[in-house]
Amino acid sequence: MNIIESDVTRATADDTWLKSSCSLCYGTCSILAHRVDGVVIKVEGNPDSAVGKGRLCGKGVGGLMTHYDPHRLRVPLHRTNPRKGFNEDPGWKQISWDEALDEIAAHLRRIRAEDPRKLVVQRTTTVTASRAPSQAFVAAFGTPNFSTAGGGLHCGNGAHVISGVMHASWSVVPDFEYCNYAIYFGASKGHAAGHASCSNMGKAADARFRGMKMVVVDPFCNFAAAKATEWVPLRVGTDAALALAMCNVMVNELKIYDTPYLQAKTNAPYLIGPDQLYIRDPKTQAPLVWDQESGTARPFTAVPSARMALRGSFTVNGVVGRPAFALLGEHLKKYTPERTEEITTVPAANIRRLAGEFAREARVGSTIVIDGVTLPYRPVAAIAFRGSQGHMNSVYNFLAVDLLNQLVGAADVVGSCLGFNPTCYGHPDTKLPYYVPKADADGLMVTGMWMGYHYPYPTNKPRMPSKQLGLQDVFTMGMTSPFLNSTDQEMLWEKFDVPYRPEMLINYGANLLMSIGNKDVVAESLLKYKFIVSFDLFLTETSVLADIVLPDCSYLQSVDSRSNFPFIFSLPAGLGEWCWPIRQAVVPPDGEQRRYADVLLELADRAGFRADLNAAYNATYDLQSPFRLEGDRKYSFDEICDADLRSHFGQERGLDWFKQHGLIKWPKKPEEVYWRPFVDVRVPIYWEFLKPLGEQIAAITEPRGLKIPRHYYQPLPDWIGCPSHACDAPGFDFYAFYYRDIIHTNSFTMENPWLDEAARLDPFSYTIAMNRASAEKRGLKHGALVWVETEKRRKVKGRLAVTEGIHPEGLGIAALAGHWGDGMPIAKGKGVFFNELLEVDWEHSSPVNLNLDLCVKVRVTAVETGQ
Amino acid sequence: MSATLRLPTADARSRPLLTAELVDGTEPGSNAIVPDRVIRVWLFGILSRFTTERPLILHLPATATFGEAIDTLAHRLGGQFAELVLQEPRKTFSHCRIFADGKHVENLNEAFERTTSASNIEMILVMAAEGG
Repeated sequence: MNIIESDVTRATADDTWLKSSCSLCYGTCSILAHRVDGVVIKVEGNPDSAVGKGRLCGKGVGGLMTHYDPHRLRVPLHRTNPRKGFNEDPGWKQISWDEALDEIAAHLRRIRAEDPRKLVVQRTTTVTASRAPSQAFVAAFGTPNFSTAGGGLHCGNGAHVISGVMHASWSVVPDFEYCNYAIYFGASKGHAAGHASCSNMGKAADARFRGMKMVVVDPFCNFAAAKATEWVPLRVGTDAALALAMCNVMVNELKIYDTPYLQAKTNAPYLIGPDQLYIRDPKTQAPLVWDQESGTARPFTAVPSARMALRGSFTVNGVVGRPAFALLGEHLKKYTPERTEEITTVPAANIRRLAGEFAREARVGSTIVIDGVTLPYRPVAAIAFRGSQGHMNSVYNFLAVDLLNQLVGAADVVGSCLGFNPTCYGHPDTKLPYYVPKADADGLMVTGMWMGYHYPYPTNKPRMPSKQLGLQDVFTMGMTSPFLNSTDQEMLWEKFDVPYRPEMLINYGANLLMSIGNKDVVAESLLKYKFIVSFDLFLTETSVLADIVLPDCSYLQSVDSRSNFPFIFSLPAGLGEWCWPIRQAVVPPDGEQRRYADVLLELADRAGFRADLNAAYNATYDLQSPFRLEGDRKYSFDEICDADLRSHFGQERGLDWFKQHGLIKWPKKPEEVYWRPFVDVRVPIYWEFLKPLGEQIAAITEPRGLKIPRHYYQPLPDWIGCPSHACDAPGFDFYAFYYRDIIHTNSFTMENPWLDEAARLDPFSYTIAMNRASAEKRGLKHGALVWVETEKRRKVKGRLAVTEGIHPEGLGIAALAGHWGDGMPIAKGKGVFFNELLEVDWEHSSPVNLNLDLCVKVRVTAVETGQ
Repeated sequence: MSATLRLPTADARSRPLLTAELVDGTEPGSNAIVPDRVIRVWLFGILSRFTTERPLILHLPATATFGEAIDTLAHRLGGQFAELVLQEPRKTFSHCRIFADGKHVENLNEAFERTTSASNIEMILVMAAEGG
């Protein structure tokens, strides 16, 4: 149905279209909800919004089936059985909100007085609206232990950190309007999943129709690859090797790279000494470059970039230094296409062809005029996301892919790899929000906006991990940590003298038992808590371990003043409009459901830290006078949202204005979208800071018996195998991996009957994908029931779907299925629970960014009758 | 290498802090600069454990910088406070947010008088690790 403005404005009280935001995934597309006689009968995309542009995926359209699910929680529940476990009935008893809040507040008061770090707060990534209230609450309470459960752990530590360092953004996409050649490494941007998913769907479709060549490097030919020009199957987890081989061909065989870009916008000309560090000016400590005109080494700030040497060897202050680019060129030589074929299985000839196509399509040196502004034009993009970075070597995997962009200057210019909106000059009336990347003393880029305060660069100095249970004090590049739930958490805490232990968990919507790793491992960590509170829509596998379960409101019952802010998260990149939509309640709570954000405010009041929470909201929302929250005055969450909106867009544009209009938008400027030429910052093609960071970390960990493998901390990226690549046990000959099924979001949507029906119709959503020839070789047939087993004897059972569209050594399992709890009966027993196969411990975590290894070597055997 | 951080106990919090009359950052008998700026510091979240006073009163020279104010606080409240706030001298952690009269302070080397009348400083640690 096409909605025109008059339809919206003439709506009556019992037949109304309301402008709001979806929340079936973190893409948070703008929606129109049609309410008739108090019942939402349809949800569509809002064509007025840049976020989705009127499009809505199957998850979004089906959202009202989640909202009206008869299994939704409606009353607070208290367990009566003190014993917790998989086979223990919690003995739920209905209690009043007053009873629930009194008990929770008593625990909060005690813990805050003893040591606030004993409180852990985890939230799902699905509901972006929970981010800011959770962040404010933990800051006000005083605990550093805040995490995003499996959603964050599985896809945050590599993709977002490196996107932040190289593009000042949370994630990257091709500039769909102008890109002519996009190569994806384990990513599905533009194919109904991920950041700005519906907007990118339309943009990607238009780009393909326009003729953009799309190459998808992935073990599985699924959502992105099925629509691509070319699918390049590779061995699981070897993306870095392929990308580095392509870089090698470009630099050392074709000699195609963007010299002016590398000189001006990267640290390629910085001189590196024999110690692998910058050679610095003794007086200013600035990194030195070689000035080709004067024949001297000078601080990078003192030499026009065009005069900076990229090649050669120079003696400076008694040591021999070489430009970082020269070292990169030498380093790449070991990634010959022939050697790389052995690692990746991608034929050497294909590697050379792909590198040549990418390099030539980049049109190095070309410009284009947009809105009267002359801009660099590099219509190629190399994109990576969850697939390629979901490994122990996620830092190098992601960095190697981005080097393809950096070599040809295809970074945040027309047609290139774009960060999601790293520069914003603000609304014309208020100049807010305003943020621009800036340079540190070494000239390297510091992001202007981030999702929290764990900035990707510069990294904090490693220290004894006395603050965070996740040990991010020492592993400072890690955002989300596996050690909140790992097998070896106690051993690690003892090693590092962590002076407290967690006692209370507040969980918002995360199904931790399913989303992190093996359920027994995660359960063991959860059983250590003395008290667990869980805000949920349904009784999940995890909430069964809680002491109190609180019935949450759905997205159709909630308010959020910033459903798509920060813009680096889910506002579409590229030209178009800035767009700040809100979420508003379309229908009231059912039964005794309450909104999460309001409950947190109430808890702060009861536990006596409202002034702290007000201050935390001032900081989190960057509220400006006169809209800052005062003292310990009690504000509702609606009032805080109102303050947020007025503070950013003026006195006249409060929550009521936004409820009527749904959003505010204004045009993007070319110099905001293609900001790189206008901002004097450089990015590191040579990660000089990694080596000293590794040494600092090792100085802390190694006296305590935790060895830091130094090859993870080298300044230039390498391919490093995962534990699965080292497994040569007989019979264990498949690399099992899971992938995001675009029909589903995490484990949450499995309960939605429409999406369940779609998943049952899909040949792969609930099955195990195996290459047809590989199956035949083992005598396994399509539809056969099989065991998938790891060396550690973790195993899952499922039905095979054989296909030519998967690498012969790959075993693909969709999404996060395999529910076993009774609280989500539609989801129960459907699909395969891949995470059951995952170890959660130090041995399977990156020693750089704590990324959990998400691939595992497995044996596949037929289930015998009776098993 | 830093020692393990242990937060102040409830007893420590109840101990009176230095009195507001002291001229912070100056030694007795030195050629002290006459303080002419009174600043009220509001510590929130985990930082509030270091003092029972809210606000905490600082007397600083008119030319003082925000960095000097933080140093003074660290001197007053002890090493544990400094460990939470400062990753090195004059450099706070990125998650330590400082507001002077409601405006976010980014450059600790700036003098109060250059940026604000700054009669109130709010300080809070905002932690966040994210994924997705």
